Amino acid sequence: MPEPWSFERFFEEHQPRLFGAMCLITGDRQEAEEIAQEAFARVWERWDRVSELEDPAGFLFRTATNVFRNRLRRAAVALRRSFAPSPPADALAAVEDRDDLLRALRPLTPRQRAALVLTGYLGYTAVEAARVLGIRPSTVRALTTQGRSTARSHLEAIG
Amino acid sequence: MIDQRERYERAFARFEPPPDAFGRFLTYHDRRRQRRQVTAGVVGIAVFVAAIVLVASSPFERTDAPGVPGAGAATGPSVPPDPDRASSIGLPPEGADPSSPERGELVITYYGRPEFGVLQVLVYADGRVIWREEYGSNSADGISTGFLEHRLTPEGVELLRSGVITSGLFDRDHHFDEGRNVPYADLIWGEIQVDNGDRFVSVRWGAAMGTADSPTTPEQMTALMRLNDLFSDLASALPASAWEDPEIRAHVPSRYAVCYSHLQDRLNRPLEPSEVLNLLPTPAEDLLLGRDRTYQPTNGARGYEEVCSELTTEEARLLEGILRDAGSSRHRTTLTTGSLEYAVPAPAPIEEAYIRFEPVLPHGQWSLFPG
Repeated sequence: MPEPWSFERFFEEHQPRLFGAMCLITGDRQEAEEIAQEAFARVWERWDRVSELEDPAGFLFRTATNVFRNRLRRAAVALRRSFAPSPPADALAAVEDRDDLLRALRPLTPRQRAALVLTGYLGYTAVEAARVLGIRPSTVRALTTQGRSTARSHLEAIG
Repeated sequence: MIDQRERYERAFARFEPPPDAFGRFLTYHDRRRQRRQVTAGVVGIAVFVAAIVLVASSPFERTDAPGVPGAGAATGPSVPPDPDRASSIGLPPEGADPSSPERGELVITYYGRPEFGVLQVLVYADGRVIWREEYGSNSADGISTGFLEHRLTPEGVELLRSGVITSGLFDRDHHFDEGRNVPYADLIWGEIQVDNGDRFVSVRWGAAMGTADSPTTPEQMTALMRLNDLFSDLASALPASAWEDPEIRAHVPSRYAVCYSHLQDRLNRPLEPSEVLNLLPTPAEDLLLGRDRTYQPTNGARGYEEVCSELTTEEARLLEGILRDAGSSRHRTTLTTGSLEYAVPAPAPIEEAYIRFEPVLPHGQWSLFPG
C-alpha cells in the first residue's frame, strides 16, 4: 500500500506543472485534468517502486503522455464514426494572451503541441518522444519543424 | 535550452489548477477503482460463460476465424517469477548462469504495443522465449520487466509457429492499417515476423510502423487481435504440454554491447566511438578500444544502427565498476528498456554522452525499443 503522505507531497509538487503541460498539449482544461488524474492514479498504484526511481517525475510525465496518446487514438477513431464533431473548448484561448509561447501554440495540432512540449520542455530526444507518442522519430522531427514554422507564421501574422 | 524551459514554466503558470486538486484526484481514484471492480466482475462472468461454451464444443472445429494454438486445452501454468531471480534490469548478479546455448536461431518475433506498454517477444528454435514489456505484471522496476526467459518444448515451438502461420495473415508480407474501416477497432501498432521455412514473413499494422499497404478487413482484424492476445500472455495461451520449463527467469546474457549515444536532436548523427572513448578513464578506454562492431537492432528500427563495443558479461561488470568509481558520471536504468546507462560530461556541442549496456541476444544483435 502506498504511503499516502509522501505520495500527496509528490502530487502537490508536480500536479500544477503536469496540469499546465497537458493544457498546452490538449488545449482543453477538462481533458488535461482527466489525463493528469489518470497518470497520478497509475503512479499511485506503483508508488512503492516509482518513488524509488531516480526520476519519479519523469515517469509521471511519461505516463501522462502515454495516456494522452491513447486518448488521442481513441478520439480519432470516435471522430471517424461521428457525424458532426464539435471542436473542444480551447484552454489556450481561455487564458490571458500576453505570453508569446501560448499565442504561438494556439494554432498547432495536439500532435504538434505534444511533440514541441516533449522535446522543448521535457527534454525528450526525438527517439524518446516518438516512443511516447507511438510514432517514428522522423515524424517527431517533422512535427516539431512544422509546429515551429506554423507558430512563427502565426506570431508574424498577428504581430 | 534553459530559456526555452523557462518560457514553458511561465506558460504553465498561467493555467491555474482546479481548487482542491488532491481531493478531486481522490474522488477520481475511488470512481476508477469502482469501475474496475465492476469491469472485473463482468469479465469474470464472461470468462465463466466462455469456458462453458468451450467445454461444450471443440475449438478445432471452428473455421470462421484463425485459432489460437492450443485453445481449449489445459493451458500452461503461469509460474510467477521469483523476485530475486526475475530481474534483468542492469547487469546480472555475479555467479548468475548465462542463458544456454549462447547462440540461438530466431523463429518468431513479436514487437508492438498490444495495450498500454510496448511488448517484445523473441522465440528461438531451441525453445527459448525471451521477452520484455513495459508496465507488465512482472515489471522489475515498475516500468520495464527487462528481458525475461522461459522455455518451450520443440513441439511447443512448432505449435506456436504453425499457429501463427495458419492465422491466414502470413501468405506474404503485409502492412495493415490500424483498422480504421472496422467498427470498434482497437489495434495500435506492431509487427510479427515468422520463419515460414523459406524466409521470414513480416506482418505489420498501425501507422507507427510506416505506411499501410492495405486496409484491414474485419477477419484480418480478428486474427491480429487474437495474435496480440496470444503474445501478450503466451504462458496462459499455450497448453501446459508446450512448456519445457514454464518458470519465468531473468534472461542472463553472455555478452553485452556497450553503445554510445547523445542528445540526438543536436547532432543528428551517431557518435563515433573515439568521441566517447576520449572522455573515459584510461582503464575503461582500454577495455573498449578496438572492439567496435555495428549492430542493427531487431524489430522496428529499420535504418537505425549503432556502433558498439562487445564485451563479455564479466568485462561489462568491470567497466561498470570503473565508471561508477570515476564519480563524475551519474547512472540510471533507462525507463522503458531497463538498460543500464551512464552519462558522461562532454564538450559542446555534445554536452553529455551516454554509455548504454545492451544485452546481446542469442541471435547476435541487441534490441532497442525505438518507437
